[in-house]
Amino acid sequence: MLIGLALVLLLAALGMPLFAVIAAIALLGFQAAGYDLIAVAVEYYRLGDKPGLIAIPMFTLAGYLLGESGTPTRLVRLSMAMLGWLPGGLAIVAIVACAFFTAFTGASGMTIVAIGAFLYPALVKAHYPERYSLGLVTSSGSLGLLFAPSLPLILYGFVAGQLNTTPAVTMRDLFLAGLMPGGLMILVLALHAMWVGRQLPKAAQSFDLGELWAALKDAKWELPLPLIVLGGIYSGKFAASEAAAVTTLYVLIVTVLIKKEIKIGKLPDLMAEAMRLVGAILIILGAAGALSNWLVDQEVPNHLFDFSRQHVHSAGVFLMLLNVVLLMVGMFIDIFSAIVILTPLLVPVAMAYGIHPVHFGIVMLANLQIGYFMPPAGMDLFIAAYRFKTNILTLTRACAPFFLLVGAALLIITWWPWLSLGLL
Amino acid sequence: MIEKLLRGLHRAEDLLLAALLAALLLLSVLQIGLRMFFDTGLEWAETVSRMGVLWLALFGALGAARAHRHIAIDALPRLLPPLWRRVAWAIAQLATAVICGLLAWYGWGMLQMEREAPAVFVEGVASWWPMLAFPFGFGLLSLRFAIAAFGQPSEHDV
Amino acid sequence: PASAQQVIKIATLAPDGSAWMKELRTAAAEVQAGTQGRVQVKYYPGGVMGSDSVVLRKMRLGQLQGGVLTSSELAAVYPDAPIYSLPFLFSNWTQVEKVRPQIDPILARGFEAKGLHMLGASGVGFAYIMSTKPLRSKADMVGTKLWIPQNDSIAETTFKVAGISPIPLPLGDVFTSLQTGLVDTVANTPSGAVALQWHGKLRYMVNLPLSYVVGYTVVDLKAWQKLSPADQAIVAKAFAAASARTDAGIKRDDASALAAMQKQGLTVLNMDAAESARWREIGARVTHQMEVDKTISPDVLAAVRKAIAGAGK
Ligand code: NA
Ligand code: NA
Repeated sequence: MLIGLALVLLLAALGMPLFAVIAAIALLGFQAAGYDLIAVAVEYYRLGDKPGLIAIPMFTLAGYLLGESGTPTRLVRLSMAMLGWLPGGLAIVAIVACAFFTAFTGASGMTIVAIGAFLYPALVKAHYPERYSLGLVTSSGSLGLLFAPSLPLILYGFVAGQLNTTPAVTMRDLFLAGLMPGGLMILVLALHAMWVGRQLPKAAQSFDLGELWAALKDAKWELPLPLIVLGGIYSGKFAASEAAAVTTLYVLIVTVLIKKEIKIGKLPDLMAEAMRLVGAILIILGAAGALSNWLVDQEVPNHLFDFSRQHVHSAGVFLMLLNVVLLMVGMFIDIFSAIVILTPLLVPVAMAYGIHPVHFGIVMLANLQIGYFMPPAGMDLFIAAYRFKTNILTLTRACAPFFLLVGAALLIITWWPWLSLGLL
Repeated sequence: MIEKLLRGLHRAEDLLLAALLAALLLLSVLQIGLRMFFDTGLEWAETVSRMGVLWLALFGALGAARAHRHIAIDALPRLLPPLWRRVAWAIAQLATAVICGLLAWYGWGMLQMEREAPAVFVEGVASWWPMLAFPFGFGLLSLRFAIAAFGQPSEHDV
Repeated sequence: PASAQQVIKIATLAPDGSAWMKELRTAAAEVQAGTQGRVQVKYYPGGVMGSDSVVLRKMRLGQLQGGVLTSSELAAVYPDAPIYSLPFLFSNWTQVEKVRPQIDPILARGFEAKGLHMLGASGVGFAYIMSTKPLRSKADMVGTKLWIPQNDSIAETTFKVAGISPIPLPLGDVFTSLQTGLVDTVANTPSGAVALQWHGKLRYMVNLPLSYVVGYTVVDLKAWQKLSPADQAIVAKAFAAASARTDAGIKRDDASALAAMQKQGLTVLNMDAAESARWREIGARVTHQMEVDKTISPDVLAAVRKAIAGAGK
């Protein structure tokens, strides 16, 4: 078992895909426990037994469609008309637009490529310091992760929902819980932007009611989107999976039939591309299900709980340790694998410390979000380095203030559960 | 010739993926419509769409393997000189092919076990039918990773 | 032969902390003490090991030795398992209490022939139709979005004959489905509804006991035969006692669960006479059809009917 495990970890370091790493560990575990290895397939197969999973392919398609359409441009125009006149206006526009876009496209790095790439030159042109601009677009790539319908949020709701906790974790609660913490992160970065932008020659543009009206009309098909996602679920009319189908249908109709920004002939390619991402995520989810089952079978959560109860005596210390561990995990492991493996392990422990599972989820996601641009290995650093043709060291320096600011917001989110639970 | 065949095959694979997604979307929307306007529903819809997502996951993963889009920790291989990077790539891909082969094999075992005590998936379809996704999907994945082992390492960054 | 320690791993959908789990844990402690640690019983409650059909698969693969399973899922292995749950089979608790001691041993032999050793059968009580809207007439009933457990063919047939197209979902999905309105009507026992936290949504209960619900604790026969006869006796005694305690408690629990639900605003209502007569007629028809199709064995059904006749009204 130990030799096998060492071999698998070596293979992981050589670049073996994570789903295979996780499946291999599960196979080793079941083998060591003396079970027929068909049990691993049986566990993997439970992927087809999970309610609401369909929300993931649906929302992913919606995100790809929006990314390929003129939505990013219209979104920036609207944010510009609303916020561009503020000191630091353009930077705030970048923050808000990135957050909205990430909520719909998930943490796939698409935000940096789709929005960051055309806002970065604009920021530099408006005399924002180059280092600030670079840090902003890089760190904003994961902003908005806490807003529905971001994939990591759904994935957490999904995995935690299966744990049958009391109180239960429902998509509806989770979607509401993300609003204030996500808003806090935006607020912190926006205030910082105003500070940076205070001595710039003049605001990017002055407030113009006519332009605002024009931008609103221009974005009239995008504006109902948050309402469809949240309103449908909050009113109890739809389950999360149904809201996903309705949203996707709506986005399809708007981008293909009304705005005609995506040609029907291009649609199959786009759908296949979106489903390749979905396949890459769900195949990890399936493998993690098998691994989790082995952990449950071996009573690892119980041992983990006994261990932590011996050494950690308060919810506060537990949360503090959690922050440290999750930041590390978030830096090295992709967010989807981290969620599916850690949720079943940590939620029972957190609950034993009296932490609400919805609050816990928000804290976990906020941590993993920072991991995205955490030096030296955060994924968004690599994407930004590639896209903006710069190196990791420069990016690390550029991201440092953002890291501290969002980190401060993270501490507030962690220690003030009301932010997550106040709207439930 | 082979090049052309392969392109056609990939095209067919993409179309299948898109069609599966479209069917799932259609089924969901239909179900919502039936519920909201006619107070009724298709009793098989939920079961079928869940299994559809499983199939979608496996075929999506197959496509991801083709495009080298599977999530991996590749910080170390990036630091290696080209030749060693190539070696690491081949080892990792072959090992993945082995794991997928095992999953296909045990998936087949699961299917056989289910055939010994079959339940009903939906009316008229035995519960082992949807299990074909495993030997089939992971079998193809295994093949694809084995082939990839002899190709160039992925250069993807996103 | 049983010198090494034997671990019996039992999975169930019953949540940890439920009355059922408490009795089962007591049984495990008795087994541990009685066998001086030779036999250890471990539980995986709350569905952590998956739905009943997954648990059955894992019992065959050796990952689990046993399960506390619903009669409808066990029907796939042993068709007579759901016999107690035939619609309107029992009219009251007295009948149940007189019939079960005679029929339980017959069922235990039936399980044995299918490779399962029955450690106990525990009644869960009578299932009633509960809904978010008042159901009095046929017109009210036909429009419902009614949940039935997956693979529960008796419930499916019964409701289809009654003109409802039921929605089969795993037990774990019902909570969310009630919240979103995917489902607005369920058939369950009052204590089951409270344990699964459905009672917050359900506002009305139809005062017509549909069927008597029962769950079985079974272990894989091969695992059972690995125990020495002396240890088998100790395990059997502990679990029989646990089942008896659960049975004794359930009548009381159901009554108090119902009282709690009424306090929170649940209205118990009677169907109009025509509609309740229609339901009883449907029940008789479904039972008759299963008898004709030999879905359940006529011998066992005859034995049950004889016992009920002997029990009086
Ligand atoms: Na993103
Ligand atoms: Na990460």
